[in-house]
Amino acid sequence: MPYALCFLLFMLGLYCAVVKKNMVKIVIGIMVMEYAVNLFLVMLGYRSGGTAPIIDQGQLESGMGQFISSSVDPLPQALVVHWPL
Amino acid sequence: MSLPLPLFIAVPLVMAFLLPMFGRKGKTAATVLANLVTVSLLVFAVASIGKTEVYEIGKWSIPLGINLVLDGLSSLLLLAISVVSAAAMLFSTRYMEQYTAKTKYLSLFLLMVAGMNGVVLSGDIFNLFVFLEIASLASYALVGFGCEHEELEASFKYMVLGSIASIFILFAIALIYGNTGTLNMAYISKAIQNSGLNAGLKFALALFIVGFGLKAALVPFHAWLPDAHPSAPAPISAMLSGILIKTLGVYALARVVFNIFGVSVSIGWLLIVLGLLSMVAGAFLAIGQWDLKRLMAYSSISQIGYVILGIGLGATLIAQGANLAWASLAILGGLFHLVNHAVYKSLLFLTSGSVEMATGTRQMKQMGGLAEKLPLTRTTCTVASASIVGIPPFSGFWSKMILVIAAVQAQFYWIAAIIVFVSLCTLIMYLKVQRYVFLGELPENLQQAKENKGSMLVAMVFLACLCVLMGLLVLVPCLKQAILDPAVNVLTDGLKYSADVIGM
Repeated sequence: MPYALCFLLFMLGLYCAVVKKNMVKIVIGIMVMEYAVNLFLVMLGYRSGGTAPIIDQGQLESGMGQFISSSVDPLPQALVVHWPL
Repeated sequence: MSLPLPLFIAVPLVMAFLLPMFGRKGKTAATVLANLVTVSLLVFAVASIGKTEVYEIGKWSIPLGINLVLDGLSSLLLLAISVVSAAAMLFSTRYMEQYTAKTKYLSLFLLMVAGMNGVVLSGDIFNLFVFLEIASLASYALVGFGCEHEELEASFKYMVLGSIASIFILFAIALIYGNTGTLNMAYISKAIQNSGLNAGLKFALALFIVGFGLKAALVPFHAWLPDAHPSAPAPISAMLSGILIKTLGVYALARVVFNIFGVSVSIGWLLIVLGLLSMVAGAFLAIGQWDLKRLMAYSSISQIGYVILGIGLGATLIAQGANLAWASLAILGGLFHLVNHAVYKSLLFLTSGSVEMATGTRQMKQMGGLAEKLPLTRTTCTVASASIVGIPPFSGFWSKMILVIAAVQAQFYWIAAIIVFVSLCTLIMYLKVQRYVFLGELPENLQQAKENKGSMLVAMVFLACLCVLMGLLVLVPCLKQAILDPAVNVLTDGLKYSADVIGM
């Protein structure tokens, strides 16, 4: 269900970028598409009941097993931060 | 001599960031350094012919880290990129004196070259996307470099469509990650071979075709090209039309379709149809143009159609399980046409830049009789036109002949007929160029036109010699085996890519 809404956001951005004539509105449409893809990327890594992918000292000392089994996937989040350069 | 692969990316990138420090006083020093970089990249690219190598960045082994892969297709494209960028950089030392902010131009140019080298060498699909964005952003800025109204409009149009394409590609990469769990191209390929294509992956393939097709200016997605290429300064038109649309569009599409997803009959036919549409539409639209560079831009769309047709024909033949030699021939025709087009189209745009610098206009109705005023430009333009039309012994003839033979051998006679027909249309458009620009009456306001000597002529003559000599790439067997055959084998044995990279 969230994926369908994300796709709807993408389509809204695409509609805005294609139909509008004001330059600023076209750019906003492209930005909305970009946000939709970022949202999709972050949702891909979600795990229900997962924790934020930040390691604290206690987890580092006691072994990473509990962190790995409970955190959400950090790779797509890295892609979102990384790609706008 | 094993060359570390990151040098192809690092050298232009570092120089691109150092050059703005030269400011306005150090313009000559900046130009010399930039030319040194492109010439040294040419030397590196020639030195790396025939080698295959996998370089793991930071010694993180795949699939955890990012790797750079040099195989046959990458080295062929690296050669094309370095030849065209060396010639364009040499041309722009004299041509860009008309504009201000030359060091910024050189810096953006090297950034574009670094981005393209990264796209070609990358072994990780997100890394490919990052470098694609670097090259695209640099090209958006370079298209609007003159800051006139027309150029800024063209640059904005290009930027909007290019950004939409990049977002489609990112969406497709996200879908691939969600379905296979890895971003390394070899591992994705292995996962897809094991599990087959589900709906998400098919949608990702469709998004890739749209995204890369827009970067390659295939026909339903070509709308940005006829405005962007004429408005850009001439060496940038040469780079854009000569290699950017091929690297960001055709190379990435071939990598994704052949090496990652594996070919199927429907994808092969889709590529054939897109190629045929581009060929015919580009040729028809070009004949009616009166703006010199706009005609050449539509002609680019047409010629990229040839390349995609060759690659699509090879894909269909592989997917149908037909004789692999036929598929190899079709892919050889497509890839050889890609390299040929890089050389002669960039030469055509450089000569149009020389004409524009001498006459101050791009409209063919205002020109005429420039043959005695600009003799060397006229000769090189004739060589390039003969090459693009396909007159023997120039390079274009051999690649078109290989494509026709491949189509006839696979018994697609109607495709061969369309190839020959579009070649006739190409002949019409370039005869028009020759007639209106170089032959005929010299108008009074152009009596003072004179040829610009120096670096511009060296670059044009270099590319013209290549046009004549490149036919040898298929005629001389040892050159063909060293340069073209490894590239063709990478695509024909598409799924072996993953085994090769993981095995190394």
